[in-house]
Amino acid sequence: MAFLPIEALSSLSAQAQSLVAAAQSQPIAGAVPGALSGASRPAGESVANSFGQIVSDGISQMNSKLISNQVDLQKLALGDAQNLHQLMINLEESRVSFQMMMQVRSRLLEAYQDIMKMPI
Amino acid sequence: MTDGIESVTRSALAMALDAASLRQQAIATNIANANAIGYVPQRVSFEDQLADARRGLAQSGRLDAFALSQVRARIEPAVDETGVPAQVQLDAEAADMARNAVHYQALVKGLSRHFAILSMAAGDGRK
Amino acid sequence: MDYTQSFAISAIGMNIERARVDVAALNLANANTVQGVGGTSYQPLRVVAEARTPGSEGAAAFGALVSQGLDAADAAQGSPLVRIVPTNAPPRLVYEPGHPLANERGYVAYAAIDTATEMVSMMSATRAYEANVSAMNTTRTLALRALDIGSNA
Repeated sequence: MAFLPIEALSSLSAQAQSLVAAAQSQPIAGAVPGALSGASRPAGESVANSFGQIVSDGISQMNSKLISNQVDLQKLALGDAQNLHQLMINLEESRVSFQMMMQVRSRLLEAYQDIMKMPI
Repeated sequence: MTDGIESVTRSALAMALDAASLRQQAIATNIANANAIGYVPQRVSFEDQLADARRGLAQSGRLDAFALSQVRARIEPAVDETGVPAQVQLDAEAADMARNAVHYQALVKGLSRHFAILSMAAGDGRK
Repeated sequence: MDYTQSFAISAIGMNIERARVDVAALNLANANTVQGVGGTSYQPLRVVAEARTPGSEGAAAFGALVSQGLDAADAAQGSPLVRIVPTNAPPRLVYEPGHPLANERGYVAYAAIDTATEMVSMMSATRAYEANVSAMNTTRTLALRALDIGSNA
């Protein structure tokens, strides 16, 4: 089960993979297209896969952190006396991570748009 | 926003806030009637109705919305098993009031943070 | 929940405790008055607060309280009924044969007020007054905190 904001970002990992793959397949200006792209293609794909993997790992970590926050809040509502300060620390941490995720998404989109604007 | 874990959390927090504010009212009434003859102190029953919900949460790691649906915060008289009413004790009421006030404010803060994250997602990272 | 009711109840509680302090001060001021020639003497006063319950006593009162629940709409439901009544204590007789108001056996009838009791009741009324003030402050704090629910944190 995914937390609602995570669903908003759930396409991020697919986007990230396609972005990086698209960027790698654009030949770099001034370089020899054939040799360079031929050599970099397999490396490019593995880089794309690992980067996309990193992003989706980060997202699933965020998801589980947010879900455990929700469970902690539910325990508080049911009256279990628990560490209030630990709960507040966890809430703040996940809020900051969430903001960072949103920034990562915005930067990736910007980078993609920049690359798309490059004349071939 | 009506499905999923975040709506269960929101309902649970709202019900707990209902109970905490009802408890503040009951304590204020008890303190005002501290020396009144024939007064039975008021208590609020909420957490003791939640045994099923707590069990479900401990077992499955999720709070079941159905377990909450039958629970309602209500005022009860403070009597022991034989039906003898308790006396109002000012120090106990004051301690209970302090504990309830902290719990209420923790619930308010938790609810605010909960909405903050949702609004961040809804606002797409821009305020 | 109804915060107006909470404030009203705390205000009534403060009122009662202040009346207790006033009555104790009045009794203390009259502690050494003597029964006059015509038999008039100062009767000490007392504040009597009774819980306001529908039905006289016993099972009816408990049942009424249990059925209150969340639907209690009567604002005066929780507040006690207050009366200031004179006590019927017999006067304190002190042997003073030379006193102009002594009776035929030489006893002077002072007002039936025990200074220590009045002081104790004044102090406990002050503590109860402070408890009511604290209850009202807490109610106000919680009501203001509820206004902060929102996405600013």
